[in-house]
Formats: sequence, structure tokens, C-alpha cells
Amino acid sequence: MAHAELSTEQLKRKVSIPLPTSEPGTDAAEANDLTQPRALEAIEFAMSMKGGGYNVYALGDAQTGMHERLMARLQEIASDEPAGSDLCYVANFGKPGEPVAMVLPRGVGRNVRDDVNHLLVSLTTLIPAAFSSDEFRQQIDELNSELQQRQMRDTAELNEEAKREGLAMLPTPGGFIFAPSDDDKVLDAEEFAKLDESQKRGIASAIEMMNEKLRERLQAYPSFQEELARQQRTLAETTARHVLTSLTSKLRARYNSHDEVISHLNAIGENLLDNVDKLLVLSAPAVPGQPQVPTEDLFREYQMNLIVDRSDEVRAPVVYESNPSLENLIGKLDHRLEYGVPVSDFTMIRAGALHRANGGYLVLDAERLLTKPFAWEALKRALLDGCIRIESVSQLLSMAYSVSLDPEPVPLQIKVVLLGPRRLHHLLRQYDSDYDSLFKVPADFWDKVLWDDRNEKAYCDLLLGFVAENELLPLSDGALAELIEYGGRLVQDRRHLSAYTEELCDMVREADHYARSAKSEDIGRDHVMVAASQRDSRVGRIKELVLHNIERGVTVIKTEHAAVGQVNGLSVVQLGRLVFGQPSRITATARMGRGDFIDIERESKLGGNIHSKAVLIVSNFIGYRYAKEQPLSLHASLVFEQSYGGIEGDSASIAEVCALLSAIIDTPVRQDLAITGSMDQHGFVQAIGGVNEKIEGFFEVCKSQKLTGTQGVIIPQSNQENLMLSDEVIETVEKGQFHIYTMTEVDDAIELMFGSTSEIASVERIEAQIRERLARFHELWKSAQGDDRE
Amino acid sequence: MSSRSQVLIVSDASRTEHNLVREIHLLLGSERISLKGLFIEDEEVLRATGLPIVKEVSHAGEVRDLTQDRLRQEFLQVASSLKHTLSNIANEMGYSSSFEVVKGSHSVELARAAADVDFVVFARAHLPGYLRPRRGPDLVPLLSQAKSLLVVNEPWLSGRSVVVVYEGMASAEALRLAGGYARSAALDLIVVTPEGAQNPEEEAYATAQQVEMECTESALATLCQARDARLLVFSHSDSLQLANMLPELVDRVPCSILRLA
Repeated sequence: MAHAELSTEQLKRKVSIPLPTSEPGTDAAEANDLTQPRALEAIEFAMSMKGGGYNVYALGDAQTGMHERLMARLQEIASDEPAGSDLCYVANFGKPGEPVAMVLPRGVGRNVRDDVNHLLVSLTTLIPAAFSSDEFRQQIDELNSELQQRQMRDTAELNEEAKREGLAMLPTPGGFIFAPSDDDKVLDAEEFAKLDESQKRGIASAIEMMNEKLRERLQAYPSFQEELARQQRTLAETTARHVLTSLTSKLRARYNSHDEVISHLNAIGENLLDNVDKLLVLSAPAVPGQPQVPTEDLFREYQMNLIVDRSDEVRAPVVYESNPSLENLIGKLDHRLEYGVPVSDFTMIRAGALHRANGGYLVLDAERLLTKPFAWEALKRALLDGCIRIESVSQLLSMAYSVSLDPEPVPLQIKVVLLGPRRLHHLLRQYDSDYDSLFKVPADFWDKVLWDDRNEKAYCDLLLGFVAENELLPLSDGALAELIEYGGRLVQDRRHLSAYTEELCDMVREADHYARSAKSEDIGRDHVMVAASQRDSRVGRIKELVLHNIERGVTVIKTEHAAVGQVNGLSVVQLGRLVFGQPSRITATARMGRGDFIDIERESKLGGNIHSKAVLIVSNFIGYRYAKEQPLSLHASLVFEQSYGGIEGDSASIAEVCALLSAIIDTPVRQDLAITGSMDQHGFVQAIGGVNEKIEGFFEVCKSQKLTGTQGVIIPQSNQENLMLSDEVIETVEKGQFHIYTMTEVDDAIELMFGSTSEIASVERIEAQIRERLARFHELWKSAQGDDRE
Repeated sequence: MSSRSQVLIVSDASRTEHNLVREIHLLLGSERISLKGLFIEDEEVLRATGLPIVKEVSHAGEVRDLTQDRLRQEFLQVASSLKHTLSNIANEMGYSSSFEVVKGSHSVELARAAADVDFVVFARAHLPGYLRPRRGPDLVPLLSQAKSLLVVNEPWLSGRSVVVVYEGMASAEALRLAGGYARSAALDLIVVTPEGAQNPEEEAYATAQQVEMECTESALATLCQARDARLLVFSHSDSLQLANMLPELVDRVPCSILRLA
């Protein structure tokens, strides 16, 4: 092979106008779906797989529009599936701390809740009314009256009997006493002492007898009262049951096919009757100064807390939770303060994203999920257990907390899609043993898509859709073409377009701004170019500084003539959004030695591993190619001049070979050319990255120093597919003022670099010179070694 | 009624004070009330406890010794509690208040203290479900005084009606007060007219239940029981001499009794 000079057509892929666009009204997201078939097929596969663990990790960058595409696709899939179920929590009367979950068909939950609320309102009115009815009151009064009558009768009888015994019955703070009296006057100790012994004994005996009678009656009251209370309660129960039965009969008929609802109605009835005493309060008169228990509090525990209501949904849920905290994911328990203490009950259970997405699809950002405490663990647990448990952080940490509630877990049937970067996917695979079994399907969203007619059309549809949606100025064909070419430039590829749709849309928005500033009626190609150049300009301070230093000679870069042991290499600087090419002066020295190649970058700990590897390849290549049959008696060194940061990569390998060979044979190489390319041990050239920036970087330097017409860049032939050069470079090439050469092996570089501006060098001649010089070095080395031994 | 601003509360720490005192302005028709609390350390009881043969039978039916020292201690505690209660409620309601503890005969001290006030409230502690102490004998000395008297049968707030005995214009004040209280406390008003007496003419009482009957102690007691009365109201000057029947009546009816001056 020999080197080749590229024509202008080979320097950039241009879009031909008119462009293929869809009919107006085409859904941009749908059109754009075509660009990621691998990822979307993976998603569809996962969504259609039954069984656990077929959840998806969508790998890729958010800026590729992955989220929008996923949501659109999931909505489409969900539209063919039935809506999920309603979910309520109701009180567990047997275990108040463990509310019962009730899963009901779509729409039933709201109906039941409303019906139960109506029932409770009716109970609030009708039960007090029943307890206030004359019939009920009369029966209660009869029961009460019996006790009162008995007490009054006892009081009267005991007083009379005491009087007959010559005693007075007197109340004390703690009960009663019987004391001897005379004419209604109680005897004092002195008067009592004057009585004879038989009188005293008689009085004592009478007192003892009266005490005993009083004691017997008093001790009988509690059981009498208990019986009275029991009878009152039975009466209240019977009355309440009658009201309840008449009110719930319609509900029972209506929800006959829903066992859970019937069970709940039964539970309400039983509990209500068990607590009929509380209901009696409703009919009791208000006590001034004493707070009344609000009616709604009495019936609170009979309410239904409908936490997921799908009445208005017609398809399976697709939920994106943008803030996947523990509580937002698995739900939470709200609380209210009672006497400064947080308390909760089943009415304060709130649904999480898992509840809302149950029966459908849940989309989460992996990075956000993993940065929320306990959220990832909770999600994994839900997926592994197949159910949702509402637990607070304090419960997860087994900390004591006043709000103590353990709602019944809810069965979980869900597909989860995590969106996140690739590195996170790999980290999870490596460090989380559950990950592979829970997220079995990776959906890889590439950051670029094939540049074919179909995707070119999809691109147009996307951009036109964006323009319409955001009411921007219409895009001209030229602007569309420029944007597509910009998409190619972003990925440095003539066969692919960038999938970073967000950046493209930003470009359109910015181009719209410049078009409006220029009072244009549409967005033209120029406006897109201005937007692109302004973008570069906004972050271009460092690039300008680098160029300025070269112009002033602070950084030495020669773009004319020739020099020994010195080659213009090319590197790429990336600082955030700023990416630009920068020439580097690579120099080499060579002298007789024992085969040492000194990589000064490595020795000074400024060279990376890949760079060191590349230098080793270069040294071995030289030995293998030019000193196969003799020891390589050479001492050589390599350095990137004026480089004060680290050097990494192997794209300078060809440049280093040329610099070393030039140093070995003391022959100058061209300085008006820059060269980039890596190589293998046999001297074949391999592709490098950032080819466009590298070419444009050297072009900028040449332009600033003076375009001589001979300057240019030598690149690997395999990088030709990556060329999407700026129009300025292409125009200069067209004028013959700048040249782009390709090479496939080292010899291609040698014939250009060791040649002159008018003719190429003879590879054979150069090779002979090298062999001769290396043989000479060896002779000298042997001689030097012999002298040493002598 | 506006002149009845001096109110004597005589009690042995009845549980009813809180509720009753908060409602007392309804019964008096006046907001300007001066409360005078009185606790009587019954000297008869004190004397009786000096006898070694006297034992106390507690409300729960336990027979136990009761010394004078212990009784004094209990009196002190009760008086202190009563004083505290009345003082708090008076402050809350904006009444002025004072409190006195005396030792003596219950009926005598009651009559003495009642001489300087317009309205007497007499309550005796009673735990619901236990034996009710007799109050009638204590009231006898008061009967000669034309004081308005409220005898509280606990619990004060039980009952669903107010029963008033109406004998014509002489009972107009009793009817007005009973009607006002029944309205404010949302109770039924039952107007009892003795056989042959005239029913009230005012339209305001048209919705009241009217009962014509012979007004004996037992008939009134039965009516109050049947109608679940909270309060029985009558005038001092009624021709039926109900006021004189008060000592007997108070121990026969389940409700409280208000006798107006």
C-alpha cells in the first residue's frame, strides 16, 4: 500500500436535499423508536416474559432521549393490557396494628369506599336516633329505675330500722356509720359511758346488726349493676343490630360477588356491636365544659383508605417515579400528633410508586434510586418477596418509634425498568448478588444510530416534531441537513448519527434564537452553524489560550521546513464540553547503546500505561524491522516536548517511529505535516480517536502561522470513515492549501515525512540508511565493549 | 332574678360541682354571681366516731374502724378539694368566690349560712350505683326561710327533661326559669298542673308537654322517674305546700329539686 491524499468529498458526509420526511402529524417519538431496535426489542422481550426477574436495566445516557422512548413504548405495550386493581386498607379489628389490605377489581374500590362512607353517615344519624327513641329510652329508664328504686328503698328502710334500734345512720366521706342517738341527737362518749352495760351491749349489738345489713346490701350492688349494664348493653346491641342490618342489606346484595367486601362489612358490624357503648355516647346530652368525641372519630376505624384508585384508568399503569425515595417507592405511614406524640392508623397509609404501578410498569432512574437511603434494598426486597411491605426507615433500622403499624403486605406483579449509565449496570452486576436474578434483561441504548435513509428520516421527524411542539420557526431543508451532519460530527462517524437527541434539540432551540434575532422567517443552515460556533466559542477560552501560546512561540510548533528527530504529533484535549485538537512536538534522540529505549514520559511518571505500551511496540518494531539479525545497539529517547500534564494513548505511535528513525539516521523530516495513528508490531497502522479535532487543531495552528499550501495531516486510512470535518478545512483543502493523507502502514508515513514538499522519499533508501546506521552502531558497540574488556 | 347573685354552695365534695356551677347562671338568669363555698364538719359524726363501738361501712361494703383523727383528716381533704374546685370554676366563669369551713350541726350551720345569700345549692356526695344518703332532715331548718334552694341529686347532668309545677301566675317565675333552662340544655319541658288549675297561656309553652294530675309526693316522684327528669321546679308559695314536703320529697325523687323563693 501507499499513502493516499483524500479529496474533499471524502472529508465529510453531506446530506442530500430534499430530505425524506414523514407526513405532517407523525409522532416524533414513534419515528425515533426506529433508531434503537436492539434496546427496544430487549424491552419488548422482557415485558412479554412471564416469571420473576425479567426486569430491565436500560443502559445509556439520559440525553439520548432514552427515557421518553421507553415511556412511549411502555405506554404502547400497556395499552393492550388490562388496568390493574384498586387497593384499599381497612382496619384489622382483631389486630389493630396490622391493617388489612383489600385488592379489588378496577373501579370497585371507589364504589365500596363511597358506599361505606354513606353507610357510616347513615349510622351516625340513625344509631343516635334509635338510641334517642322513646321506646329505647323507656326500656333503658326502666332498667335504671329499678336500681334507683332499690337504692332509695334501701336508704329509707335502713334509716327506719336504725331509728327503731335507737340509732342514727350518718354519712361519712367514705361511707356510713350507725351511732346511738336519743331524740335525733347522737350520744357522745360521756353520755354513752353513763349507760349500763346491758344497754351498751344492746347498742353494740344493734350497730353490729345494722352494719351487717348495710354491708350485705352494699356488696350486692356491684353485681346488680353489672347485670343492669349487661341488660342495657344487650338492649343497645339489639337496637344497633336492627339499624345495621337494614342499612347493610343493600350493600351486601350489591357486593355479593366480592368476598373481601362482605367480610369487611361483617367485621364492621361485629366491631360496631362490640363497641356499642361508644355509640351510646352519641345520644348522650352534651356536657358543658367537656369536649365531645367527634362523631367522625367514632367511625374512623370503619372507613376505607383507598390508596390506589384506578376507576379512571383504562390500561395497565406505567409509572415514572422521579424521586424514588424509600417512602415514595413503597409507600408511607403519615402521622398526626396527639399530645406531642406521633400516632398513625390505617387511614394514614399512603401509596408508593410500587402500589401505583402494580399490575403494570415502573420506571426509575437507577442513580437516583441508589442514592436514596434504603430505597434499593426496599425495591429488591419487594421484587424478591413478590409483595410490597410498607416500612419506615426506623422500622428497617429496628429503632423504637411511636408510630407502630404493620400493614398487610400487598402481592406485587410488576415489571421494573431502571434507567442508568452503563458503569452502574456493571457495578451492580459485580457487587450486588441479587442484581442478575432481578434484572435479567439489559436494554442497551447506544449513543449513536446507523446513518441510513430510515434514520435520516427519523431524525428529520424528530426535529420537525420538536419544532412544532415548541412553536419554533420552521426548519429549512438546509438547516435540517446541517443538523443531521452535526449529528454525524458529534459521533465522529460517517456511518452513524448521534443519539443525543437532547443536544440536537437544544441546537434547534438556539438556532431558532439566532434566526429570530436576524428577523428570519425560518431557521436556515447559517443559523444552525452560528449556533454551533457560538457553542464552541462559549467554552473556547482554553483552546484560544493554547493557540495563542503557539502563535507567540511560547509553545514551539513548527509548521514549515524540516527538522531532525522532531515530528508534529496530535492530541485531543477534553475539558467538559470543550473538545479540541492540539499539536504536540515529539522529539527523539538516538546514539550507540545497548538497546535501551527511554520513554521520558514514563520515566518522569507522566506517561500512562497505554502510552508506555505503545512505546514498547515502537521499540520492538524498530528492532524487528531494522535489526533482525543483530543486537539493537541503540540508545534512544522519546519525549512530548512542553508537555506538563499526563500523556496517554497510543495515537502518537507512528509519529514516534518517524521521530526515532529521523534521529537514528540524522535525516530531517517534514514539519509542515502532522501525523496521528497507532500501530502494531509489524508496522501496520491502526485507527485513533478524535481525528476531526486533531486535523482541525493542526489546521488552526497552520492558519495562524501561515498556510503554505504544503501543510497537512496524515491519518490512518481506517479513520477515513470518521471524517466529518468543518467546512473551513474542506474549503481550504479544495483550494489545495491543506492536505489530508491516509496511511495503512508505517512506510506510507515514512515516504511522506522523509520526503520533500515536492516529492516523496524512497522507503527502500531510508530503510537502507537505517540498517546501515544500526550496523554501524553495533560495530561501535562491539568495539567499545572490547575496549572495556581490555 | 338579677338580685340573686349571692350563691351558697354547700357540699361534701359532691362530684357534681363542675357541671352544676357552670350552669348556675342559667338557673339564676344572671351572670353576676358571687359564689360562697361552705363545708360543714358534721359534729354529730365527729361525736359518734368517739364511741369505740361505732364502725364505718364503706361504700364498697367493708366494715372498718373510723377514729376521730382519721375522720378529721378526711374532712380536711374533702374541704380542700372542694375549695380548689370551686375556686377554679369561679375563675373560669368570672365569678367572685369565697370559701368557709365550719364545724357544727349540718342543719344548723346550713340555715345560718343561708341567711345571707339569695340562692342555696345543697349537694351531697353520692357515687352512682351506691347507697344514697338521706338529705331531707338537713333541710328542715331551711324551710322557714324564703330562699331559693337547689337540692342536687347526683348526677346533675343525667335526665332528659325539666318538670315544673305550675299553679297559675304565682308559678310564672318557676315556669319561665324551667322553660329557659330546658331550652338552653335541650331538655324536654313538662308542665305539671294540679287538677283544676289553669294551664299556662303563653305560646312559648305550647310545645311543652302538659300533665294534669294530683301533685302528691309519690305522684311527682313517679312522674319524675317515668320522664327521666333532671330537675323538678316549683315555687315556695304554691298552694300545695310542696316546700313543706321537700324533706320527704328529696329522698323519693331521682332528680334534683329547685324550690324558688
